[in-house]
Amino acid sequence: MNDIFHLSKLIIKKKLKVLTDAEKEQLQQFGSEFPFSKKQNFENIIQKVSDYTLIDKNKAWLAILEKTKIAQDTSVVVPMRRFWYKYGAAAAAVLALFSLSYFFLDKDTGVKTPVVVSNPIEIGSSKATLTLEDGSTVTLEKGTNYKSNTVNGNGEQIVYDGKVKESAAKIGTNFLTIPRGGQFFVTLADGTKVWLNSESQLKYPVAFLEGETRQVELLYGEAYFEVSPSTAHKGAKFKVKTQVQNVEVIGTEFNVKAYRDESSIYTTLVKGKVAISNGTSKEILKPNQQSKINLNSSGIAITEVNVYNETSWRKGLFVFKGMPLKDIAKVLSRWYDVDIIFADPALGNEKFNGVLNKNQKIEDILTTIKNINFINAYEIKEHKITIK
Amino acid sequence: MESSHNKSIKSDFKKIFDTYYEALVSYGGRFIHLKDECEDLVQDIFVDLWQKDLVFPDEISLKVYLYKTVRNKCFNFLKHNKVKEKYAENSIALLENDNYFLEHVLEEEIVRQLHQAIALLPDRKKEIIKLSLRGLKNTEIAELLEIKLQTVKTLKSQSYSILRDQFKDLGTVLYFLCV
Repeated sequence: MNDIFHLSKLIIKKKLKVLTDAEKEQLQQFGSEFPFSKKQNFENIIQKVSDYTLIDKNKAWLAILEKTKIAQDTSVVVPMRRFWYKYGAAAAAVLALFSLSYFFLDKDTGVKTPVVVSNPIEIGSSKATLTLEDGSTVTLEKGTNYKSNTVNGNGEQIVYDGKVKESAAKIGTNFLTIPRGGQFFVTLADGTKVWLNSESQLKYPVAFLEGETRQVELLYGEAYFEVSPSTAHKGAKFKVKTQVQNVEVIGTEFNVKAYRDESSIYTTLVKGKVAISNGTSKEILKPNQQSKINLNSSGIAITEVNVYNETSWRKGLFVFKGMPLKDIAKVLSRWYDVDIIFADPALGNEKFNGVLNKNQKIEDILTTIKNINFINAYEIKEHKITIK
Repeated sequence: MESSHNKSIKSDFKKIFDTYYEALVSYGGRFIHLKDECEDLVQDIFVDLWQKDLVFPDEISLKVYLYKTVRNKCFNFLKHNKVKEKYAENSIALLENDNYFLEHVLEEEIVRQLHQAIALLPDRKKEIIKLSLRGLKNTEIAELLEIKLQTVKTLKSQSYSILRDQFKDLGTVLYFLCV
């Protein structure tokens, strides 16, 4: 139900041609969730807009006043109550106030303020470290370029050339390491595309042997794979290895999440077909399914998920559905390279729905959470955020 | 924490009325074709809201409450007020369907926000933008309003940019709500 209100704004923005790419994506998603939203009759809508003027609002207000005798009560009640109901303009003013206050707050004054910021937290961006065959490293970030005879890279992505090698002995292994606050994109030698999320590491050969299984390893973190089909590589399978699981692929798109601070590995299939195995069991995933392997047990659990929510990170969005605040904090801490601590641990269990743009300051996100009154205050010191 | 959830709507009662009254009457009007009865029913909801001093954690919860209450009241009205006309049956069938509820609220929210945005425009621009949103071409608008084509183009582009500005800054936080 709540989505309907957000959706109504997106439909208007579409009509006015001011949708951002991320919003277009969202609208498409909503279209499959609410099929009726796709057919809006604007002739009818504008007729209703005009019909609003036929309603005598003043008369109605007087009738309500009469029935409630508000006129007498108001002077007593209003000053006693806190304003809570934020309209667009008011909310914007509050936001503007907070962003101004970041510049003027002095952390040493000891004054108790709801928001304390001692240093700006940077928004995450594309960056990575490439480790070559000989162990030497190359830093890839905005403004850098790297070129060798097998690979071409800039501040956002690297691309391996597709030359097929004759013998395994000559094929080196590279590592791509994405720090906290980073993300990166790599095209492997077989044409497989991999989006890497913050705090992740991928190990892969710089070339593949014709007709032989292509294997890469997600040592930790999260990656989205768009695998070049086996049919284009003489039937060669594609395998993604993680700490305790193997994903065997025939030609497909999927997301693997294997963070070091989480006790489970999640694999979400968007398109195609993959087989998940962990030594003891093997399961086949269908599109829209997610497997979960707990590091401490042997089973593989499979659930249906909304793949858009699970993979929106690579499109520049965070989408949370019914996620506890403490898990949201984990996601944010990787992107903004901060530690988030809850003064009251119970607060971390409150569940939220949300769609956040990755390209914004973390203060804006915290302020939003604060404005809906679920947290009272937050404090930013060095790379630590305390939520109170 | 608990206390911060409990906030009265009283301090913003007039604003809530101004923002939602027409939309609720228009939504109810889909089922109850007697205009006065429909307005009475919506006014009662506001009176009730005030007298019970209801609390909501956020604006969306309030909106959900308002639309749902209109839906229930319309249903009860049609069931019990001996509305004999043929349309009552159709209305009840529509009201009972949850999908239609979402569809109607979605449309009404689009109408409400467009109305609010268009209300800021001067009369001539209002007319032009409405015709344009209905899908009329510039030449058709010029003919209908008996003004020059160039004037339509100019006023239309100014009007669109005013509207766009109102919806453009949805904010970088698209939404964030407690479940």
